Amino acid sequence: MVMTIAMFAIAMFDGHFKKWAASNFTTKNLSHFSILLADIPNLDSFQRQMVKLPGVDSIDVIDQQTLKLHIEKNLAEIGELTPDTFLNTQYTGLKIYLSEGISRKSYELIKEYAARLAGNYKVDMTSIVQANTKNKASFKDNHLAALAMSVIFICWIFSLLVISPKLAQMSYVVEKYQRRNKVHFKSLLSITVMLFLFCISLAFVLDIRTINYLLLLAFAVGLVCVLTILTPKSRWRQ
Amino acid sequence: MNGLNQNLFKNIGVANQTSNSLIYLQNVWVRFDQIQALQGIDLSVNPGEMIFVTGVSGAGKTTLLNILAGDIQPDKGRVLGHAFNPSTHFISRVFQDLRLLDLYSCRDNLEIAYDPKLHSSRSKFQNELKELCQILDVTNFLSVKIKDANGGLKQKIAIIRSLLSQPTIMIADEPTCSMDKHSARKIFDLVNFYNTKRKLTVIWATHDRELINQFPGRIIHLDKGKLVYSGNACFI
Repeated sequence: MVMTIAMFAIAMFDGHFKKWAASNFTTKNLSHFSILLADIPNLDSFQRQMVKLPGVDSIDVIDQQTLKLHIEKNLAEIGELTPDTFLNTQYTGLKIYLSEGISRKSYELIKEYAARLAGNYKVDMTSIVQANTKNKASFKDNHLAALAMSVIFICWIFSLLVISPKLAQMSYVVEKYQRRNKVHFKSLLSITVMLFLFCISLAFVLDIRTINYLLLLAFAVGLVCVLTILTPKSRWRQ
Repeated sequence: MNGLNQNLFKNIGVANQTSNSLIYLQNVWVRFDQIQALQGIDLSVNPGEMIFVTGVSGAGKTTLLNILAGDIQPDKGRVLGHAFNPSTHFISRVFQDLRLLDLYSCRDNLEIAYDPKLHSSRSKFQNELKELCQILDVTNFLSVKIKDANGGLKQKIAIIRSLLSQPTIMIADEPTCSMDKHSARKIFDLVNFYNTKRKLTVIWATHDRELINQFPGRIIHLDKGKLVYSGNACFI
């Protein structure tokens, strides 16, 4: 049980959870550009129209503190403005994320559209920052997690082999003194389900997106059928 | 199983008396390699009966109990009866080798008998456990691991575990052989109480003739796999 929990912990942390957390709490791994707007009266309308645009994934508003630091740093470098200038103008920074797999030409069209839509309110616009492909989950990047999981899996199988006779013994006693049937089979079934879930979690860790879940399900059903046929009636073994 | 048994009763034309039996053996033969363990046993066990199975070692007592519990099938003959209907009957056994979990404590071994389907609450089960442990003087030994327990304690635990499962039929294979007379007497009294007050059917293999003569019930005596005597204990 401990082994199973450990496997799930690693799987969830290094795979699915990391991706989920990344998409919710940290910078998205998508190509993007930023636009700085000053005193724009219809910000909501601007955002709505941009999001509707094909090729735009989402828009994030850059928080004021980050924006202030960024502007002060850049303007101080050219010595044009003092920090007081910032207080008199309502700046808004937007980070526009672009969908995956669209062409460079589309990027430029989106940028042009954003500039036209912002009109005179546009102060500055960055160039497109390409998505960091290194952040994508891959076997190489997650090889440590995969190795850790493999070691734990081997330990898990080993511990299963060790407890198996005791499990059969315990199942026998439960069947003899409680009104229950097929306890041994049910125990083995639970273990199979755990193994099945392990396979799925492994798929998350290794980011196997092309996994055929239907085939995996068919495999699990097959395994259960084999267990049903092969599981012997629980017997007492010293 | 029950439906099948009912049909078999009808098909083989067994008399009404035997069709009411909990367990009915008809010409049962069992062989293990070169050893003929049981030879042509005809036996009927009625509800609420207390049966003592006697005989020397190797007479076939354990094989007979295995047949009666439905744990093995005969090579020849029929085993019928309502006892094998799980919705109405439950057979609980006290095995000769006791079959306790060595690495667990006495209490853990007893708590295995807790069945939420059967016991209305955990506290009621605990009360019953406590009561039985007090009767058999094992309360102070509940934390002892089975591997560290002596033979008498193990046998008491096995008997309590069997009773806690609230069986309708109890099949015990020499469960008092490691006990002193006083303890064995207590066990017999307890089982006799369950038999008379709770209508527990008891099938008990033992060598202790002196003790069984003091209890009402039927004696079945086996000799070389043959049933040589079936009758009241006081006539033996």
